[in-house]
Amino acid sequence: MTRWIGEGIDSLEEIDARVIAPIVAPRLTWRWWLAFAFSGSLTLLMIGTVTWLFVHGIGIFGNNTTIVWGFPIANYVWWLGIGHAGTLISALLLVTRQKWRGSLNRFAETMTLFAASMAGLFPIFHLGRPYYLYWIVPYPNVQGLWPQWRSALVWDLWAVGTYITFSALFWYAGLIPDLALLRERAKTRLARRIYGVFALGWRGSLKHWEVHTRFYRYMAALAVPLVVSVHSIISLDFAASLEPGWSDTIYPPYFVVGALYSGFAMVVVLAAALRWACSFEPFITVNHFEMIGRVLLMASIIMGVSYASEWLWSWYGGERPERHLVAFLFTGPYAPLYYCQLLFNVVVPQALWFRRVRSNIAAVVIISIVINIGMWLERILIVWATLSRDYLPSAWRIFLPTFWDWALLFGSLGAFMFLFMLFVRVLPALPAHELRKLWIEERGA
Amino acid sequence: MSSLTGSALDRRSALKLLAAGMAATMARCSRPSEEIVPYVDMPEGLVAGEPMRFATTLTLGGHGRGFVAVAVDGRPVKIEGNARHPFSLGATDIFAEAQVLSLYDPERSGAVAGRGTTWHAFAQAWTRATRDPSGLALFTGRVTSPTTLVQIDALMKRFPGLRRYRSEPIHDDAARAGSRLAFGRVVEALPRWADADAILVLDGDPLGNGPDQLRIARAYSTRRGGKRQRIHVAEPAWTLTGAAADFRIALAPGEVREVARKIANDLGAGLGEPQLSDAARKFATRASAELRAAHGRALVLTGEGQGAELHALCHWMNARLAAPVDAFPSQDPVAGDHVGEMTAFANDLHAGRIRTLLIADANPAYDAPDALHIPAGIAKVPFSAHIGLYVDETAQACTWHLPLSHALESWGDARAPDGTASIVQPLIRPLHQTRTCDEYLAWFATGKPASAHALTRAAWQASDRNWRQMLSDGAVANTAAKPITVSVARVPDLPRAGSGRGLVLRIAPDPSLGDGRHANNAWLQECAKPFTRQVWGNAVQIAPEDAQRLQIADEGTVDVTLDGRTFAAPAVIVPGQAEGVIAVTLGHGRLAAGRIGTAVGARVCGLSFARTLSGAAVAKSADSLPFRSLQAHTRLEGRAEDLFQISGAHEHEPNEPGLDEPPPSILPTPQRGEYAWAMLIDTDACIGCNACVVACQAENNVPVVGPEEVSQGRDMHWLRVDNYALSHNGALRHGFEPVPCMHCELAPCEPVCPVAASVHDHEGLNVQVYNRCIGTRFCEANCPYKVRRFNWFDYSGDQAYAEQGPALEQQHNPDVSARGRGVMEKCNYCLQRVSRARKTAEKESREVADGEMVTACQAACPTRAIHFGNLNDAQSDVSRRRRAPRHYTLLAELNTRPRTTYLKRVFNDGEDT
Amino acid sequence: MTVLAEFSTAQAATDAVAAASRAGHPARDVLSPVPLEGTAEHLAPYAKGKIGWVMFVAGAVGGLAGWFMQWYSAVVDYPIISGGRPMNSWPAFLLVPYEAAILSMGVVGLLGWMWMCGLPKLFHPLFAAPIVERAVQDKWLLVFESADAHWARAHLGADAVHEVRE
Repeated sequence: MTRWIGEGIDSLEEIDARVIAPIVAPRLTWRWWLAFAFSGSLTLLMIGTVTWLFVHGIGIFGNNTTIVWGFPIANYVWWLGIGHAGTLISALLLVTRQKWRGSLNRFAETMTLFAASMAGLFPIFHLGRPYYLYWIVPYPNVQGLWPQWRSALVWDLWAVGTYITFSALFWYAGLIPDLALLRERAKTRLARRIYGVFALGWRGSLKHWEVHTRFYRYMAALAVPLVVSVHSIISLDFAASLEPGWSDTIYPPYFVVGALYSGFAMVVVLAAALRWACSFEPFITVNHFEMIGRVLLMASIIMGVSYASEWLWSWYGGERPERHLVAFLFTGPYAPLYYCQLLFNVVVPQALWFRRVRSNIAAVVIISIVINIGMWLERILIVWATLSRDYLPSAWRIFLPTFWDWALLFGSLGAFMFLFMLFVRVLPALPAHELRKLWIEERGA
Repeated sequence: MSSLTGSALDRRSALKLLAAGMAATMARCSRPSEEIVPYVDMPEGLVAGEPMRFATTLTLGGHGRGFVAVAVDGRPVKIEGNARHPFSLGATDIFAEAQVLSLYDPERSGAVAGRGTTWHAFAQAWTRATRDPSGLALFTGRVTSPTTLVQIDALMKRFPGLRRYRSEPIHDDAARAGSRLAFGRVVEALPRWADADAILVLDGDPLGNGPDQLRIARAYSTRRGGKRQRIHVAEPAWTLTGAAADFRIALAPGEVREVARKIANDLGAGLGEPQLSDAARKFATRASAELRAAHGRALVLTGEGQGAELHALCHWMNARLAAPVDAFPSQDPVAGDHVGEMTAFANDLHAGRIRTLLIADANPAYDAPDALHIPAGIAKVPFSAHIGLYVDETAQACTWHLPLSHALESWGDARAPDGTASIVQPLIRPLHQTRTCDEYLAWFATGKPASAHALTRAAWQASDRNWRQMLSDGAVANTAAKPITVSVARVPDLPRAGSGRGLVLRIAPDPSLGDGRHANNAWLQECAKPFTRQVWGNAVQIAPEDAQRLQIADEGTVDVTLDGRTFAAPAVIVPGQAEGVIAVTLGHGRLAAGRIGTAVGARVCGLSFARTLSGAAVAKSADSLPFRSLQAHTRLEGRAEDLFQISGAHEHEPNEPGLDEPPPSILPTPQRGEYAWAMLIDTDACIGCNACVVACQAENNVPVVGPEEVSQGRDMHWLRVDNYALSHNGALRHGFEPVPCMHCELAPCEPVCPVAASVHDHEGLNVQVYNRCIGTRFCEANCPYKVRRFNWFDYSGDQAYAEQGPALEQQHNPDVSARGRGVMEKCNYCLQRVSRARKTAEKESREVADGEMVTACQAACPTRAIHFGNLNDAQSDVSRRRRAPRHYTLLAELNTRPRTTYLKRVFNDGEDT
Repeated sequence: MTVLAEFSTAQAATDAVAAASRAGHPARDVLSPVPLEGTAEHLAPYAKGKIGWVMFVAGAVGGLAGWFMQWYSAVVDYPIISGGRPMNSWPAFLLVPYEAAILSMGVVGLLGWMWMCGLPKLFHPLFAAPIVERAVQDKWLLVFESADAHWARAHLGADAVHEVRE
């Protein structure tokens, strides 16, 4: 039987010590500061871009009369996709009793929270008048107006709002026992107090554990359909339209798998970084990468089938705009991007058929980065291609990104990284209590 | 001089000036002090907020056309057609529509400039200069105004030695010379288009811009039903007439003459054997046969691109065919040709024969070929004064500049090509310290100030009652000249085409800017040229064969060299242009038009006066100049059956019931309110003139976005005229498809809006609630017609192009809100007009009658291609036409059920008809 | 007076809880660094929280409220014509109740769990014993009432026994 906790862990105390080491005894090397400064400056770039955006207007982006959606929508879908893996890992693997979730769920859930927050910002930045965002929310107002419930954007608000809230609750529920650990182990009195308040007075009572376990399972059981619904609803932003290439029934499952795919890929990257930076080798083992490699391989095949089915149905459906769109993807000005998308999302991950590749952490990480680029290309091409080539040839145009488009994308990556580095320093990146349980089960102690 | 040639203002000072100018204009925003008389259909008395309509006259190349200007609270906001004027017939063109913007142009000159800044200083200088009146000269464009001619006569009496020059950049020298050749005198030959059954246009563009366009376009559209005309066009580059033709062939100018030779020979001219290609011979044979078969109802026309001989030959052919053409005495009293006058002017300048120069409302420094060195010549003149709307190229060369009043601030008059006179009536007191041309000339003649109103009244000697009638009608009764009888003495000879050296360069007036005098008008700059959809610049149009041979890329920059002179411009490959011909348009490359018009495009008028030049060379340029277009793709990609539909000539009969049934839907049938407004656009009548586009812009406060934004792919036009190149019966055709909002009954834009900013009203309009819009742009993403327009920046306000926002507010239609940044907007069927029509009807306790509610685009359309009305009334114009077999719906397969629908284009090119 | 019997492994603690229960001296509670599945049955009887039902009811109420809000606003309060869709566009109205139901279940679930556990309770008398801090790390503490204290001391074989005054 595969062991998910590596050699070198001989006591529960050692698990706790290792898990909280980045918080109580961090290794603040120059590399760490460099990474922190790098992500911090990108965060500043994002803040600056958003300021410029609010001052100057949405026109700073490359959008035009025909391609009214651009980077923000693609970034939104991409980030939210990444934000799906955490909950999926936590919830789906919990429900299916996969033990290897134990080392991954905390930071994956955190990744979910940060990625979903990043995602949630983009639709706001994309608005012409972001300061009226609250008009999408039902609230009593003097005009007596309500949101327009038939709009997929209203569904988005509910889906993403629910998702972020729910993920935060789920994350917090799992965090409470570890907060109690930090209440006892944090270095300063103030820190112990703060952790203590958030630990709610948790003392490990078996009665609490008993309700907590059930509650946590129910939450996991709810999280799975929630995750599926969220990216399905996001896909309705496109699928509920009547534009060629968007109006497809395949979109919801295709988006959900795509989300899982890019999310798992991001988990790989973060897992490797944590393993290396925080000495989590015993908890995040090669076996974990091997297992995720299988998931990625499966997802890449499903993505390939999805792409192929788009081609098939646009050919078989016989509608000229749909057929033209596929031809445009292969031959139009975006074709190099499209070939990259196919290469990155479908071809490259086939290397994961080989156990030697899956067991090579560096290889899996590189493939994961490639997948994430490929998935971003997929998202941007979904937005661009259809809008660039819809029904009336007179309206056909091409999207030319501006500096600000890129600034916001990379700024959000930096902000994500910045937040994640902060998280590692203040909260346990691995769930100590679950590792204890796993260790007990594996060692029979 | 420094004040004239000074560099562009920096932003801060420009804003200051704007603010000051605004305050000043607001303060002075009042009706003229003299009595002005409302248009005849209007109730008397000004009601606050109610539009008042006044007949007035706007000129195009000196020819007057009567229009109706609409003023609200003393501010002119819109130009509409005047049905009583024979050269408007209720319609407008882009130049007329755009005048209302020029009126408020903050860069229009408002003060005396030059060697002093006061009128007093100028007057003293003038008195000194005219102590010795020898060497005094007056330069004007074409003048048809009786009042102005009176002032010029008075000036010539006062200064007997006065040299007078008249030259118009868009001249008619070939027509004048042809007329002299044929008839021995200059006549204005105006076709009675509607009376012709077979028409042959040999390299001319009667349906294109010009003083006669609206009249001919209307006649054209009246002949689209019933027994249709057959129109044959042979031309080197696409014109609106070529697009309207049933048979069109692309031929170099020399080959066009061979077609003429063949047809003239068939009529008995005996001009020698024509040298024709097979296709040209087929074309000529058919055209010849049809012309002869339609004797008495056949018409042959040509244009300025051809020489006097072909013009004369056309007169001869028309005489042989007993063609419906009326000859009128020319309304231009100057005998000399425009080119000759300009050349004489240049010679006299350089010879020092001109010591004191007045240039009235003309811009020879820009218009004249470089070889004449007009600016240097003017600089030699000790005293030169330019009267004009702008401190333009000529003003910069002169020692003095005198600000001219805009037509909408002026009293005056003008004559149409047939002699019909109409009064220029001001709607507003001059916004700046300006005077009219007549006032200046009268002062020069008499030394005493006179009001333009008094001068105009004096010229007409009308009783008060007649005067009021003249003003309210907008056309002076019985002033049209009587057609004169002329006869063609002999068959003119027709020269053969020269040996093929290099490419033939065709220079044509710009479809959007004309001769460029209105280059500072942003509406015109952003009005897409019909075929290339280019805006903010001109391009070298080149045939695909030539482009391939010369390895010139579409939209790549080229250098055109002719006789040692070179200009650079983007090239655009135009299928259907004659091989060996490149075409460019005038009006661009202004050196001192203002912040909007300066240095946009290439100046080609510097090459020559001629419209057809041979020996041009084209080569790839090292420069990179932007080609800015509102439509990147004009080929229909085999989708003609969906998007731009073509019908046979026999299918034009309306009134077949049951054809207006929508396809089934799972959604419930939408309920209809009291009215169900619908628009129907007849693509067969549309000639692609763009009048509707500019009319919509004026009516609905549609901002311009400027060249940089266009390069980003952005534009704001609520109504666009899509142009599609398609193959029909083996020939390349162009179809014009005006696309406003479709007002779908099952609108895809509405259910996707999260805040219900895009909603339907009870009369079937798809309306946009600007105040509610948060700018998700889902509506436009989901609009299959892509008719929605987004304010990426505050185009109407702080971020307006060239910082014209505050100035343009003066022009804004007060019934239409200006849209702020981050808000979606689009065509709303002129909701304000619908509302006004409904209120008017309600006040009178009746329903809105059919034809009572007219949208701005519909009102402007010279061919009446746009129909609007109530679908609930089965007998309304729109309802009846929707039942026609020619009726089709754009993207009908999407079942959006548009209220805007189309009638198919008809090419009457079957052999059987 | 409460007694805490200290154990160093989960297995020992589980065995001890079962033994105490068999002996008729069931532990009142166990403080454990990990959940011990099936062990709670051997504790002294206590009211088990019906967290599932609470969440189910919350979800039903949240979902229905979401549906009603849409129906009321779109059909009764402010009907508008939107793309020719019926006022009661029920298929489009299914998504918000779905999300609202899950959201309600999550929020009420967490609050319900806290309420059932009596949390937050930042101070608990057991915290008076220094050993309790190890209960969230690596020690298992069986909590016995004073009546069972003597038995626990004598028969459980705990690593150590601590007394706490409650």
